[in-house]
Amino acid sequence: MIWYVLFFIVPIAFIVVYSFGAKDSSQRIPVDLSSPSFHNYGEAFSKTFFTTFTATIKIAVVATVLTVVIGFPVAYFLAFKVQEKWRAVLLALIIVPSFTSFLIRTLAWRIPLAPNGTLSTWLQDWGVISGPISVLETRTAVQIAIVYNYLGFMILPLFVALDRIEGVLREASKDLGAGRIATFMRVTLPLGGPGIAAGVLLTFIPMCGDYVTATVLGGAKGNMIGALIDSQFKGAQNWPLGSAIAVLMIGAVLAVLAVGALVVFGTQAVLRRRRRVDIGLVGVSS
Amino acid sequence: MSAKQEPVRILAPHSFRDVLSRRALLQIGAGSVGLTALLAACGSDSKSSSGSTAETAGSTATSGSTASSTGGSAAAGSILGDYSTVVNKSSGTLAMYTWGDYNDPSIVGDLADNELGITMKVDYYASNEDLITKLSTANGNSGFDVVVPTGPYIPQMIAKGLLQKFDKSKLANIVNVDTPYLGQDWDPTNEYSVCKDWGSTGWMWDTTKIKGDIASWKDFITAATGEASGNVSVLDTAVNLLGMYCWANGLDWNTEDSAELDAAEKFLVDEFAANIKAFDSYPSTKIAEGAYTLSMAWNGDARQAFSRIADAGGNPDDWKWALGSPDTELWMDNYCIPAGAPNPDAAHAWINWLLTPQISVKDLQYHGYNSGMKNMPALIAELAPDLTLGDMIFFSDEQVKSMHTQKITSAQDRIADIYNKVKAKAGG
Amino acid sequence: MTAAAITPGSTMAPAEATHTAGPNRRKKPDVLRIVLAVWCGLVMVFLFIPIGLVILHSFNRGGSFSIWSGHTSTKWWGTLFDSDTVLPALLTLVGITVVACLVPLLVRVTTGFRHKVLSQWAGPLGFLVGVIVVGMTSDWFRNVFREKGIGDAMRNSFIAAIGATLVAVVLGGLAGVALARNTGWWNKPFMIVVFLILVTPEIMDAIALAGWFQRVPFRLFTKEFLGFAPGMLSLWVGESLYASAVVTLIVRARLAGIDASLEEAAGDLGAPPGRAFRQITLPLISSALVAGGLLSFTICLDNTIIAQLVSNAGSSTFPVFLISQLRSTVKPFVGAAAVVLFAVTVGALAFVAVVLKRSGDSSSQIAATLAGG
Repeated sequence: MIWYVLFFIVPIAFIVVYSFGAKDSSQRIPVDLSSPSFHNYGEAFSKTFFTTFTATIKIAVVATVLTVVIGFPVAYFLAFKVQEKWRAVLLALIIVPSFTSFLIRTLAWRIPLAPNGTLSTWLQDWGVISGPISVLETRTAVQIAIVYNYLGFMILPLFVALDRIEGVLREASKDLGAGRIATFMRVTLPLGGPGIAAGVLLTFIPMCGDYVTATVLGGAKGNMIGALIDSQFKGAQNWPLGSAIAVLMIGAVLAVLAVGALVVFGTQAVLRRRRRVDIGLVGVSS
Repeated sequence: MSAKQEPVRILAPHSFRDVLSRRALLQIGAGSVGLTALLAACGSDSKSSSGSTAETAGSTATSGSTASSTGGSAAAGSILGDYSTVVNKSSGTLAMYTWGDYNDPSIVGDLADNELGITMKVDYYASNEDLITKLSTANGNSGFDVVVPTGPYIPQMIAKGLLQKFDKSKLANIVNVDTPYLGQDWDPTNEYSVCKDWGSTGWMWDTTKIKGDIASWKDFITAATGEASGNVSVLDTAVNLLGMYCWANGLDWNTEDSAELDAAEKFLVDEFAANIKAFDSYPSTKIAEGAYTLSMAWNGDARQAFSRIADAGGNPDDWKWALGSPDTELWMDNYCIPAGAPNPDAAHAWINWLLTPQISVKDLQYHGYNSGMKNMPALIAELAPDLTLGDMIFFSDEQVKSMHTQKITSAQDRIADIYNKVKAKAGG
Repeated sequence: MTAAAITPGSTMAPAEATHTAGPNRRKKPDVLRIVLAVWCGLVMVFLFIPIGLVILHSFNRGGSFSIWSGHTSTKWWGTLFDSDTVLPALLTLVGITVVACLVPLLVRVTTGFRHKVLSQWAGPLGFLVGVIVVGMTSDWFRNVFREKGIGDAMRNSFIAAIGATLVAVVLGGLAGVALARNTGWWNKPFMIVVFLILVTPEIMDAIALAGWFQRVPFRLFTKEFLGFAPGMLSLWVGESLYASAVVTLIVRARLAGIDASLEEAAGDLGAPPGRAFRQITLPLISSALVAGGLLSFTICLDNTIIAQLVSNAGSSTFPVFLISQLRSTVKPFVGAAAVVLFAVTVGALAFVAVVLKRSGDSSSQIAATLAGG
């Protein structure tokens, strides 16, 4: 606790205080605190930044949904349909890619997506597309790479949650006459809920703050809030504004999570109580 | 040692011929360059000082009692005799904070070890602001000995106390720098900084996609908002975007006039922004990937683009480069020593060493920007005769006259604000 | 949950067995299963596309990482490594490992008796001995890289990530135990802090910490420490911040499923708290710590923004190097370096996995706690 106070709360508090100051680039720390105001927050809400805000949240939400949609069948397969000896291997294969540098993986996406690249040429030769791929420097590229980068973080918690469902429960459901779909909807999905929640936490939050993906692939159209905050602190040397945007972003992320949690609470009363810790917390802190 | 002008002329790179001044040729001739010395100089690629000709070189050191002359390829009668080639030995580690890929690795590695006795540690930053943020937050405790900021950023770094003054007695080779590149506005007496290299801004375009010549910034804007719309990259700096507008309209890019800035904002945000595909300061790689059809670029990066296009299986002849016109930028990166540097002695030794013609040209061949040495054409002819695309490194006097350095003015925040809006608009 | 959590894998096998045993339910092949398998395969391909490309492009002959020149070449590997140093070191290492693996075989042949423990541990031990011998006989780690900058960066990355992971595991582990076991007034605020750490953008931490370490009492974090480069200590602190929050959550989740009665029982039986912790709590959370450690390690290894501002001269890491290269041109040797980093990391983890497995841990248990569910 003391550790966190020393190295997180107090330093961050300084930065939050900066968000009420004004830019003064003549000083080492380019902040003038003589006339504190909410001016920076107003500016952060201006149209200029708001578009990036909403774009980021959109990208993150879509990517989170996509990772669930892509990841769930994989986790399901791993948990229920695969022999024990293969399972460990497959799990390892899912984890292993994340041991390559995040940056280089993102950069590697430029290769297949390049308009003059091999893939683009092939697709054109086969007549699949008429012109070169024009995905780079757009939101689509960011979207693809961000799904890729965080997929592993979604599959693992999903797998763990599904893996804990006693096979007996599903058997019982089927024996009681429920069809496959009903069993899935009534038993598997609710019990897998906590896994989805954990996965969402592990993917959505870092996605919102992601800086690398947008910088490497985004171009002018795919700018994200993480890169924007970074450019305020460094490029524009406007610490107060950067800080204000960051504070707002934290708020926005918490709000989105809270809304998500409420939806989950509303629909999934079946959730087992102790599994609710993470989601419950969102409600508390926002 | 039968010196003739003929072989010299042949060895000079083709692209360079226009720039080679008559004076340089005369000098080479008058100096009666021995063919052997010339070849020795050409061949001395891996190791600049062979020492074999040191005896005839005589002492070319102009000052510095601790100095040991490299001699090396400074053969008798060679153009190198006109330069100061003091090399001060030093010791310990030297930590340099610089731009990515900005020095020949062999210079930073083995050569620095062998010739200066210092071990280099090199870290990289991606923008001047990164550098300033790093140095400010470290409060003189960053541990770096040498940094390489761009000129206009130097006054604010001095004001923040981030830099220390040179000990000029340790920088004897500063006399090798051509006078136009000394005493710049940001540091009139070179007390804090000395030119590493300089470059300019122009553009590259794909002639298969864009018909017609792009000769001026006006043409650039026309093409960018027309044929190339949606496939345009511009440099990721606020001033270069403003510069484009100003130069196309005959304005001074350091303008502080609010009416002019308002007009610039109106044009850039409302008319220009939507055409931009990316803000990219080093478009060469992405040009080769096929991402852009028109790119604003710095000359050294544009020069590299041609070899990358060939690498990627494209046809470099499809692409054309033009220097900004009627006016354009002159930027200059400078060696500086940050306040609180742990090993300033080594820092001076390093900077001084990089100002010797041999090392300077060797480095130039790697990064492709003019390092501002005196009498550059002759130097290149002697040390790097096989340099390609020299016309993208060296510019005619006329071109240099059309280049202007950036000034940090009161309009700085306004420009940053415009740039923010352009970025937001381009992203929307 | 307790039972399921400890042996999650084993519960499935019998279930699956009864499932397929039901004669009336499984007449035709399981279409769903095939579809899922195909899907899973596709996802795997998706996951490995960039890795394959990274490996391929590290053999690119052209001058840029992302542009394929149409020719392969090992020249960039040659640029990165000093082959005079690498080859002997590698050969020695492989040699010693092979010899060590042969020892049990030799024992078996000569004595006719198969020594189980010996055959299990000979390989890993031989590898360890090999690493030590190679490390002592040559200063290969100093000379292995021809390209000094990237070599330093890779080395720094490892040292920083390992150090930060240790910090994160210790701190996060303690915090997790405290959160799960004590229900004081500070429990909720603490949880909120942990959560705030998770949602704070990295650049904010970076700016905050970079300035913070320059304040007088914390200056010593930027100094040289036990031979580590200056700034390494602050890197450990900075990179471990986010990771420790993750570890906290994982450990807490692990313990949340197990009630405190075990420790209480130990206490009742007269065990001092320290011993109860060592003998009861620690084994319980060990798999969570391993999982959290793995996760922290990848997080720390990838940390870019904090590392960029917090590191000192000479302690900057691979991602910092890489992101600065991004602005100009990424050379293919960066890909080679990434492949090496990848291989070493995976190798080290495989080694740990082998050791763990031999000491009786199950891999799916690790995966289970990895996700912290």
